[in-house]
Amino acid sequence: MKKRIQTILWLAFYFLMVFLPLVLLMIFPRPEGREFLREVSVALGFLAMALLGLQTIPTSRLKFFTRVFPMDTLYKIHHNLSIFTLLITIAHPILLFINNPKTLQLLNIIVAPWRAKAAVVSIAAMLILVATSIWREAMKIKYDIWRWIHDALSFVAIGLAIFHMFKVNYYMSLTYQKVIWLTLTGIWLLIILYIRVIRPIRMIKRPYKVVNLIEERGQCWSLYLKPDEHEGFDFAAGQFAWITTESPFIFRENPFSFTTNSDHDDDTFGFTIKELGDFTNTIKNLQPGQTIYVDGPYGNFSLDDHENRSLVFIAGGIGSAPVMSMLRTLVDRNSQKELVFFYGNPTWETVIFREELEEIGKKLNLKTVNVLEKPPEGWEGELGFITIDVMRRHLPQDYDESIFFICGPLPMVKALNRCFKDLDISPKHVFIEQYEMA
Amino acid sequence: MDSQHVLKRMFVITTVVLCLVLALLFGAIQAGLI
Repeated sequence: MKKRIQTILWLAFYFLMVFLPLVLLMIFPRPEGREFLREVSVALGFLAMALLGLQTIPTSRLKFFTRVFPMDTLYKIHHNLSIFTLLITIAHPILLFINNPKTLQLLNIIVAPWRAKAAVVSIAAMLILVATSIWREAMKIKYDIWRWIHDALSFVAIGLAIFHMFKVNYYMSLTYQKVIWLTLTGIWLLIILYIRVIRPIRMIKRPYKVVNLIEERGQCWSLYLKPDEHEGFDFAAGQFAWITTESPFIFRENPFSFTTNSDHDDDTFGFTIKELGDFTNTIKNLQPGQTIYVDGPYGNFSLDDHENRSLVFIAGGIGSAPVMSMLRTLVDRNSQKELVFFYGNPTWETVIFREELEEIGKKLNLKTVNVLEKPPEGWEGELGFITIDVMRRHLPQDYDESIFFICGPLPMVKALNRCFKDLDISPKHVFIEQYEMA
Repeated sequence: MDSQHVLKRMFVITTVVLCLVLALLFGAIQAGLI
């Protein structure tokens, strides 16, 4: 099925899940209406509940979803809609209090009925959930600990919100509403079961072994893996996978781009990983034969969908990893495409794959534009950052028809987005993978 | 900006607008205003 049709179908499914309970209430016979603010409040409560449950989908890494939407897009949707869900959840009781100030006594959870106690705790859990997600780094919460907190609070918030709805039992007294909400709850539970139980089991059943570890420039390590007594998987150049050295049930996996040729004949594949934090600092200690668990491939970078177009790669530092996978694959394919690689780095010494890029330049129609923040003496190349002026000097003549692949940190991606607008480059020709999805 | 990010923006805006419109519509219908 074409990607466009898949996108439309998934969006339709999502809107159906969010709006169906409320739309059906408006169409079919229902309990008697009440004051305007009270009913708006109820509607917001229903919508918040549906949105809250569906928040489990964007970050679930379900393959049929990630084939259509890039992971960073899904994470951003999750972030944005989580904040909106919190806002309308808070609006739900506030409108009730405005409509009837006597209902404020429901906030006293010692004497309040169970439906109100559940609602108060659910909203408190959501507040902590959103706060710990937005300010995780400021609060100095480690990523893996935060993930456990995030999961536990999500469970509490969703579970108590459903309990609240059934206990209030006004519109929920309708049989079809009960069926809809129990079905939605079943879907959410199945997704959680898949993420937390089925996927880890599948990863354990398909382990990989370290076959080689090579030190690269810029505090980076190239890690090569092969399947341990199974057939492994195929990936497209530019894609990435989550890897972990611990049990997949501990949920400490991290995403890394493949750097190897995707058309390779053997089943070995590799990642190049920069020392940036707790997990990445341990890569250099891995030993050949050690077991690694891999979940992938993911990502929407693909060389195959853009025949007969020049390609422009833009990367900062270790963002060059997926670009290397694509370039190595193009070498293997003996490609004659016009290629330009804008490569930003702090110094000449930290340019990862520097020597190999020079070699690849002899085999492909590739122009590598190194852009250095602190260049060595006598440097005649580009200075500073990848700006619109740098791009104008080196882009192919038909750049408005070129395909752009960008991989780098958020500030770089934001700056490039402005450049693309000024250069009048169609969004359809731009593919972005950002670091820092979670 | 790539097309997926345009889609993301439209998706979030559509969800927010539809939620608010439907909540107000439901409130108005149930309160007998329309």
